[in-house]
Order: sequence, then structure tokens, then C-alpha cells
Amino acid sequence: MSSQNKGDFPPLFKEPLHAEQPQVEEPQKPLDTITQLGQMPMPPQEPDLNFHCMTIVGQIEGHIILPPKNKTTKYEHLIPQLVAIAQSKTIKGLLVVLNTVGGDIEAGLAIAEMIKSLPKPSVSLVLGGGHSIGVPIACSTNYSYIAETATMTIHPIRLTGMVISVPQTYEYLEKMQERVTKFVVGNSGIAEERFRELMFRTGELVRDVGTVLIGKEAVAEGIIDQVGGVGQALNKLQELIQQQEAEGSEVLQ
Amino acid sequence: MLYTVMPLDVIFQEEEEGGYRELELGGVQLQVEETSPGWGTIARVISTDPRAFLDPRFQPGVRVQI
Repeated sequence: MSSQNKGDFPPLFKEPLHAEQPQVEEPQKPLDTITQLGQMPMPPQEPDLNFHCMTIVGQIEGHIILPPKNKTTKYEHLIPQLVAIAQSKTIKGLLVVLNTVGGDIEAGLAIAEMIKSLPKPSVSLVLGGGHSIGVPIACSTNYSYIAETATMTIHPIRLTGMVISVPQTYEYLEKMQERVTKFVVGNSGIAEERFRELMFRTGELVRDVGTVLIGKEAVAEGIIDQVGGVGQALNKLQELIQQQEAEGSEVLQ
Repeated sequence: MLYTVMPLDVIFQEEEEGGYRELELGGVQLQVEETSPGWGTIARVISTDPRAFLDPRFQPGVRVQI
């Protein structure tokens, strides 16, 4: 009995030596099987996980592939993932975590529309920054949070490089702007006039017109629902999931 | 058309290509940096499943055969 205790020194050769051997070998990490044998051990399963998390970071990459030094989130990854989440029987909700500087308008709007029309509850959390085209994505979920220190920049779409200075150029830009504005106004608590006012404000940004909203300012303007962090966002998501399940069972009865 | 707070000259500055490749291992899509022929290290996990990020097989820096 006492030889089983760790503090005691086990008597030599009482048991066959190799009986202890496998325990010593154990710390060999499962990683080694990938590098040494090219095999994949099964990961430990957590069956009670009922949501997926989508992180949208860096530039949102759309029709143009950006140089590799840019951190990008690609729409060809996100859109199929959203379809899979919509179809899945086990995934009940979606958490969207944003830390983006903006990016392609059409890709951003496509992602925002996909999240908006997702038949499952979704909650967004803006961490660090949710600028430019990140704003409609943050608004597209059922409920939105922003970290106290996170910022959102609201500014007009602009062209650089060669600009054909005909009235049509302005009209085209205006139309693109309209798509973003309409989406944000339609999916958050801000009025169109106020959003445009923030967008064309001067004196806030050094090289541009627009407004930077920090944490609770975004909430005060009605763009984001609440200041919070990952804990609150997950609690809200579970609450929405339970709500939807309760409604679903009512419909069935 | 880009709508971003980043200046376009920063986004499109000239640079040499990084050797990244995308591949799927064990049902999870990964971005792998090619380190030597046939081998690479995991740079990023492209998944919405939070469990994939806890999986020791897919930690950033893990060597994989490509």
C-alpha cells in the first residue's frame, strides 16, 4: 500500500519495470502525431456548445485580393460558413466579434445581409474597432455590444486615384453611400439625418470628415445596443436562443 | 470599392509575397505558412467553431505536412 504513495520510494524490482513505463511516455503531446506520422487524433468533444463564433478582423476582403501584408477576412470564407450555420441542426446561434478597419463595400454589405437574414439569433461585439463598413455588420445582428474602449469611425466613402470628374461620379458615390446608410438606419436606432450629420462632421478626424464614436457614444447615438464584453454578449445570445426555442415549441403545439 | 479608415497607399504598398497556403486538416480550414518544401506552420484557423481554436492540433505555430 505504502509503495503506492508518491512520497515513498518504491522497492526496487518488486514489480516488473515496464509496468511503470507507459506513464512516463504519456506527456508526449498529441501534436507529435501530426508532425511525425501525419495522423490526426480525435479532439476532445464538447457536445454542449450550441453557438458558433465569427471573427471579422483586419480588412474585409471582397472582389480584389489585397496584398498579403494586410490582415484580411475574406467573404469567400464567411459566406459559406454563414450558410452552414443557417443549415446546422446543432448550432443555435451566432456570435460575431468585430475588430475591423473596414474594407470592400459589397463584401461587407453581403456579410451584413447574410447575418441579418440568418434564421438564428445573433449577437455582435465590437472590440478595438468597427470602422467604416464594420458599422453595418455590427448593426446586422439581433443585438449588439461594444467594448468601452472600442471605436467606430463613421465617414463618407471616398475615391482616390483617378477620378473622372463628371457629375455621374458623384452620383455613383452617393448611391454607394446610400446603401450603407440605409442598412445602418434600418437596422439600428439612429436616424438618417443624424447618421449623415456624423458622417460629414469636420474637425474630428485629422485627414477626413467624419466622427469617431467611442464605446458608450456609439450606444448614445443608437448605433449599438449596449456597452459590454464577451460575457454579456454570450449571456444575451443564450437568452435569445432560449427565447427562439420557446417560440418554436409554441408554434409546434 | 473600399470603404475603410486605412489609407489606400498603406493597403496597396509594394511588398514581396508571403508563402501562405490554405488547406483543410481534420475538417478545419487552416492558413499555413510554408516554411520548407512539404512543411508549414499554422498561421491562422479559419473556422467559426470555437472548439477548433482550443484544439491542440490547430494551435498557431504547430508544424504540419502540406
